[in-house]
Amino acid sequence: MRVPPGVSAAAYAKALTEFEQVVGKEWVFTTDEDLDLYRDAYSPFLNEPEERIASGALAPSSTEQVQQIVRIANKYRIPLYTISTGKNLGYGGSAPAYSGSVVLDLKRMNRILEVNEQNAYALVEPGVSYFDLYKYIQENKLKVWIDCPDPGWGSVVGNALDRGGGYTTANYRNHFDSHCGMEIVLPDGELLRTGMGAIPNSKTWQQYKSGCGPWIDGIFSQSNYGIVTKMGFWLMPEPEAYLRCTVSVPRYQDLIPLIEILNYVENSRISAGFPDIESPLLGYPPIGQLQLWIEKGPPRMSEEHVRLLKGARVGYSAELEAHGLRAGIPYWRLWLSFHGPQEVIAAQWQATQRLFARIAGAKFEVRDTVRFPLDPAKVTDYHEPELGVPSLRVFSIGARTPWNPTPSKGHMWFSPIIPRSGEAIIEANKVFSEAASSLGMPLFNSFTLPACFWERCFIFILATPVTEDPQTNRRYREGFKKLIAVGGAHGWGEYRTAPVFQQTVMDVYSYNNHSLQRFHATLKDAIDPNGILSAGRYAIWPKHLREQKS
Amino acid sequence: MNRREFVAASSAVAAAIGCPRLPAATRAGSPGLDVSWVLFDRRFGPSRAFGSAAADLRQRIYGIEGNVTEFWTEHLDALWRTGTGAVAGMTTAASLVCLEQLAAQHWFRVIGRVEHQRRCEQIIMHRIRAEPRWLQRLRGGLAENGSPSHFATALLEPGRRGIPQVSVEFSTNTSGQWLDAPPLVSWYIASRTATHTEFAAGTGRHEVET
Repeated sequence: MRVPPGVSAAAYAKALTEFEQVVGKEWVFTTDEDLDLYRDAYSPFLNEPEERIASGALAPSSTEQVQQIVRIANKYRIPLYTISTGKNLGYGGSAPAYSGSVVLDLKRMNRILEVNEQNAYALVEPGVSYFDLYKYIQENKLKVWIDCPDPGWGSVVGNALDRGGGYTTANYRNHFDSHCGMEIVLPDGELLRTGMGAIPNSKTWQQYKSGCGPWIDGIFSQSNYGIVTKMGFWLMPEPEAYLRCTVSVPRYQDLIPLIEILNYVENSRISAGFPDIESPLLGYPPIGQLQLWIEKGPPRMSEEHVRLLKGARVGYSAELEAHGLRAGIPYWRLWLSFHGPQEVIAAQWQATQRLFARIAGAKFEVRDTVRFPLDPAKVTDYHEPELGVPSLRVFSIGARTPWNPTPSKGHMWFSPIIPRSGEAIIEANKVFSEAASSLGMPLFNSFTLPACFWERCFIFILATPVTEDPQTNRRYREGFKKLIAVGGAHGWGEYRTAPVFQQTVMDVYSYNNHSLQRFHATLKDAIDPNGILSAGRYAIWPKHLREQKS
Repeated sequence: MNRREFVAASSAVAAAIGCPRLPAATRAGSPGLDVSWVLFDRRFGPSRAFGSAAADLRQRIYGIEGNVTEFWTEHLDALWRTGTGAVAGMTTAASLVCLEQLAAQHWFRVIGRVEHQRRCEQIIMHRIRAEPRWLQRLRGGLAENGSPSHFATALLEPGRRGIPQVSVEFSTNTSGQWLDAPPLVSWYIASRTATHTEFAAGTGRHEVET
């Protein structure tokens, strides 16, 4: 039997007995076969001894059980690592940040406590997946939408706490921002409710976020200060209709006004749907069309076009641009979407066209007009998450790829945040492509466009493959860390990362001699003096492990 | 890898799509076998042959084109919530990663897997991971001149639980159906507590979900 680090076998055995008394013997896992389920399926340490693994796992079914587990863990100094459903592949999965921790698996806490249609909110436990919530809403014929990531298999609470993003409208795509109220088990077993939930019999826990006094919800995301056992979310009222349109512009430099105008139309909510940038001339698909391009093949390019593409630098050559102008192939295409009553979204699209018309040669096209409710048989005609429908379709892609003739065994997401401007896209491509090329990293090999999950910034989300070759994985891990540092030197930082890179990422957030990290440590020592909760998560280590590390 | 490279990389697989249809799902059942569903990918010849062989064994089959969403929402989630219901199949590795994660949601796990990857025009490599006796049967099912039904039979009769799994890699000559197929993987997913008693070969098999 595996034993957590720093814990004697005898103490661990006693703790396991007490855990069994709380959750039942069948929900305490210690065999290798059971614990294999808690390995990170995309671990960058595939087949290496440094892979982070669990010593055990516990699956409570209630908040009260979580409180008891935490008290036992304090008694025996058992390091716990909390997961909701552990589906954040590419960002660490179910595996603990501190190898040898006991995974506290909240999947059995899967109750949908309330979905309020009138005020459009839900209150759920951490084991509720996007599929679960979607199904509940459909079965109860409620006129609300969820906003889900792609794939939509994960926990609503877990994704929000990891600060994931989605694809509907700007008010809901930032999953942490769209939460309203939490219930938290603190490291000493105390129960806390945030916002209006701090009022006994609160009537507005899911309707007003901050309550009164310091608003502390943020410290429970990407952290290890408590175990969130309930969380409220604002839902989107089902729109009457949906309109998806494109704005195409002909020249490389048009990217700059294109983004400026996008920012205005989105920040003023003229268009609130997921903006998606494509480059027909560079052969770069929008996220919403990626699946269709793969299933049906990308648009064909002439030999001349392919030849000119090879000569482009940072996505540009005068010849390529001239070719695009001659052949009528836009350099950039922006996909915009509108949700609401038909007459409203028609007017929004009209205003949008007027604003973008200041770019010479801009062309406009309506791509889809949808009335809701949508016929379920037609949902795969669209990128499902943009219509609030969870999907696993992203896994329909085969595994053989030219960049990796042996199938990839997963990936590590490289996800830097950059400013919301055309200039920043070009600069980031220049910086990262030079760095990646010198490091031999399979990133930024061609001009790369960011995603628009959040309305005030861009994010690149790029997959660095995990291979079966430990030497290649080692090289990629080191290269990945160097790219993080390169980003940091330019003022860009990752929004989320796998445990193996969390220290490197947090080291970039170094203003005033790492005052943010030092504050995190101060909080940790005050809230969790025994250091039992999720040690090492986002580089927040308890005192005894900080001392060991130094 | 960015979106453009992703499309380029995937187009080789997309080009391989050719979908003579098996029924999307069939209802059958064999008293000797306890799998609830056999999954196959309609896009790829070897997987279609596997699905046909399972149907011939009177198994309930389900065809996908990579996307397991409908299978999950319509069948699998409800089945696995009951804590029982083994499922087997031959799919891409990507589909299996997805199913494996979904299985873990209910503490189900892959108890045997066989990766199949063409190495050159005429050679296909198989990598089996399973408990030793089952591994031998799986290997036998993949032997030269073996039919898809031999392999399907071997896969659908799982090995013992609680026995450490071992791995073996070997090659066979390809048949024509593998020529355009990407790497595929055959697998068997069972619950945490599914156990069975071994049986004498050819006399049938007994599995009990406890």
